[in-house]
This record gives sequence, structure tokens and C-alpha cells, in this order.
Amino acid sequence: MRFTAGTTAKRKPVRLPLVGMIDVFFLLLVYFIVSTTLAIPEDELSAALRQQSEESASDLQPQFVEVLAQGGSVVFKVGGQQLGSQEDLRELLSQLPKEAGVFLQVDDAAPVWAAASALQACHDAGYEKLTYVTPE
Amino acid sequence: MKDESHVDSGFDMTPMIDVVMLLIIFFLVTSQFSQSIRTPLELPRQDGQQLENQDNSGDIVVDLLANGSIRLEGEELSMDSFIAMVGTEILHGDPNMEVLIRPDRSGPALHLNKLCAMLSESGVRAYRIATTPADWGAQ
Repeated sequence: MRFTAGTTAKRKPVRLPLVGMIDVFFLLLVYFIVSTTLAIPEDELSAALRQQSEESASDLQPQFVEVLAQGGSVVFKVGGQQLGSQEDLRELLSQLPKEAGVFLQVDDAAPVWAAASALQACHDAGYEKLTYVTPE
Repeated sequence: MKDESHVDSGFDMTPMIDVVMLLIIFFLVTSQFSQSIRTPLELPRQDGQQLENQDNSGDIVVDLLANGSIRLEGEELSMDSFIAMVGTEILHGDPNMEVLIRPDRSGPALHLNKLCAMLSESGVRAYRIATTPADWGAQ
């Protein structure tokens, strides 16, 4: 066997095309910067709508949660009990039967965040049927 | 005899990858922009719920400001004209359409109750409230 000196000399050096990779890298960088600064995440809470005057078709009585504004604070009322926090409301609701669902009514003077807080507590307690009842 | 002028006919993937990535990024960024068109509002800070298999593409997204005014796609309009628009949509469009309300967390529930009552009268059976995750930003 004979080795020629010219074989290795003719071999071209391997060149990695870096330009395209750099392009892609910068585009990805820009995308992630833009998307993290623009996108403020939003979640959602859903509820059925029903007016207080409508009659219930079911024999089961749903739980009834009221959100009341008392002075500068907010109170959640379930049956005869008044609760001061979302945690307490969630705790109580999770112990009650859930088949008939829950009705939620919010006092006009109560803030919107309290309504959302009560909605969240109802969902967290495991109620699937959640109806927002508007005052007459 | 070997042809010295032979040109390597290998397919150069780099420009194609560039174009594909550009298109992907374009669509991702535009989808982000379409969300960011939503007016910045102080939404209630709640974690929300897992909504399964929901197609919300046809739903109406409405901003409810603290003073009770309503904004639809950045334009302020009266509650009556909004309800009339929703009624028309239900009548001629999707009867199961839902409304996504983006309320200002500090406003009184009076306006939310009023809006919900009017929506219910116009035939809307359910609504959703937009929230900001509780752990987003400064508490």
C-alpha cells in the first residue's frame, strides 16, 4: 500500500455556517424579550347568569353566598354565618353538599375584587354549578 | 477525466430555516400583540379556574371600568348600545356566546351587577370574569 502526500493536502477544511445560526439565535432572543414584556397573563372565572326572580327547577336547594359591604370591609355570608376571609368561605363551602350548586349574590356597594374572591372560593371548594344572581 | 468545474448541488437549508423561523416568530408575536391590545386594567387578583375544551374565539371581551363605563376593543360605548349589540349577536350569531368581562378590581359591584342583569335579560346564559394570577407582579 502506498500513501500519497497529496490526499490530505486536497481535503477542504470543514466550515460551519454560523451566520444562519446567529440570525436564528437573535430572532429567538428578541421574541422571548418581547413576549415576556408584553404578555400579562390573564385567568378566568366563569359563572352562569340568573336573575333573582327566576324560579329554580330543582328540588335541591343550592347554597347561597352573599357578599356584603360592611363599613370599609367585606363580609361573606353563608346561611347564618358571616365570614371575614376567602379562606374561611372556601373552608365552609367545601364541607357543604355541592350537588345543587351555589348561588352567589354580591351587594352593589361591595367591591368587584370581593365578587371575584367569592367566585374563586366557590370554584376552589369544588362547586361545578355556580350561578351569579343579580339583585332585583 | 474528472470534471473540475463540478458544483456541489447540495440543498442549502439555512435560508429556508431562516424563513420558517421568521414566520413562526411573526405568528407568535402577532398573537401576543392581539392579546396585548386588551386595555391594561387592574383586574381582580385571583388564580382563576381550569376551563376545559372551551372555544372562546366567538366570545365578546368587554372592559368594565371602575366608573361603570364600558370599553369594547378600546372604544367606549354606553351600556345600552353594548347590550343591543350582544342581543343582535345572540339572535343572528352564536346563541351560546359568552361574555368575558374584564372588570377594574377597585370598582363597586354595582356596575357588574347591572351589566350581568342586562346580559341575562338579553339572553346571555353565562359570563366569565378575567383575573390576574395572584402571584403576578407585586401584591
